[in-house]
Amino acid sequence: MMTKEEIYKRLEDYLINLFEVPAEDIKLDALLFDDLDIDSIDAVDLLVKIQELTGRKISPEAFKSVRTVGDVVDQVYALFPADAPAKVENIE
Amino acid sequence: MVRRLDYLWRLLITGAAFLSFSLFGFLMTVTLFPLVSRLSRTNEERVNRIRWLIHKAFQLLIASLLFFKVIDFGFKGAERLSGERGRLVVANHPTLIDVVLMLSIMPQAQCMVKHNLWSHRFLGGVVRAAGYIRNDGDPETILEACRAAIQQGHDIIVFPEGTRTVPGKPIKFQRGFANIAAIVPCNIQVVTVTCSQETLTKGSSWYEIPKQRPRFYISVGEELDVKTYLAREPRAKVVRRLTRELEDYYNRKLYHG
Repeated sequence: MMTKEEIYKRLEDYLINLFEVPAEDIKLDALLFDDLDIDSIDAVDLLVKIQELTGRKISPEAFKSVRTVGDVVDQVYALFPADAPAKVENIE
Repeated sequence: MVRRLDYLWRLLITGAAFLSFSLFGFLMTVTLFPLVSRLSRTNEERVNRIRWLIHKAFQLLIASLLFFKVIDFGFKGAERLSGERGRLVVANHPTLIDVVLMLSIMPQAQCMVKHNLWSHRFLGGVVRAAGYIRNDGDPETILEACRAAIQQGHDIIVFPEGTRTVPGKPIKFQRGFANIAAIVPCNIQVVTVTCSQETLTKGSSWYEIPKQRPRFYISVGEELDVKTYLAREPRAKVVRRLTRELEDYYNRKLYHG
């Protein structure tokens, strides 16, 4: 189980180190495609990264509705069922 | 007086060239292309033949423009373009006829073409018949088409600016070309197009011809081995690095000697 803060931190780390997004641009309401210069191919990479992080499958369809950094955090958070501690696989 | 005559002559021929470009495009669409389709067994065979016809037509057009002394044309490293080897051929895009010049020496190249040409009255049929790639397709479709071309050993011409260069403004690339090269993956062949005069730029009309005969120069530069890039960094970083490196390369080449 990860808290929303932990997920945000991890996402921030990906955005800065993998997609060269300037740290100061990353906010919960920042738009991935318009504000952070992420394209649809990057989005696929990000999806893979998140799957590695959570060890769970996310449908690309569900990920398509994602617009902001906050949306991603919520999506990832929703992957963990309440209470049940999920096995967090952390593959870098 | 001589200069004035030269100007009028070039104006006349330029007009005729524009007219025949559309006219021949349309005529080929309704005559030769259907014939080729009937005589070809596979889709691949058909588009290869049609691209070869386009290549020949462009050769004729360039030869006429040279013959009538409307343009001058120089090439460095042409032999490295004519032997297609399944690469992404990336070029800056100063004028309307860059692609004509390039296709006149590339017999069966695939091209990434601006979407609005698909509905062009005279040329729509040509780009459709040649099986070129629409630049506004969804990424999966575009990638699939690029993979197919590379696998068949064709080069793909892409203008990463997405539109013609605005004279004097720094070159700005979109990342799409680098995404293609990194995902397929394939090498990038760098080509620089320069012209001695400003002509046929974005937003100009055919009759706005330069005071003097323009000299076009195409120089085939280095070939980037994309796999070496991919061995060092994750894909998303490679894509950004390639985009940045090539922007710098063109800006240096075009604006700083």
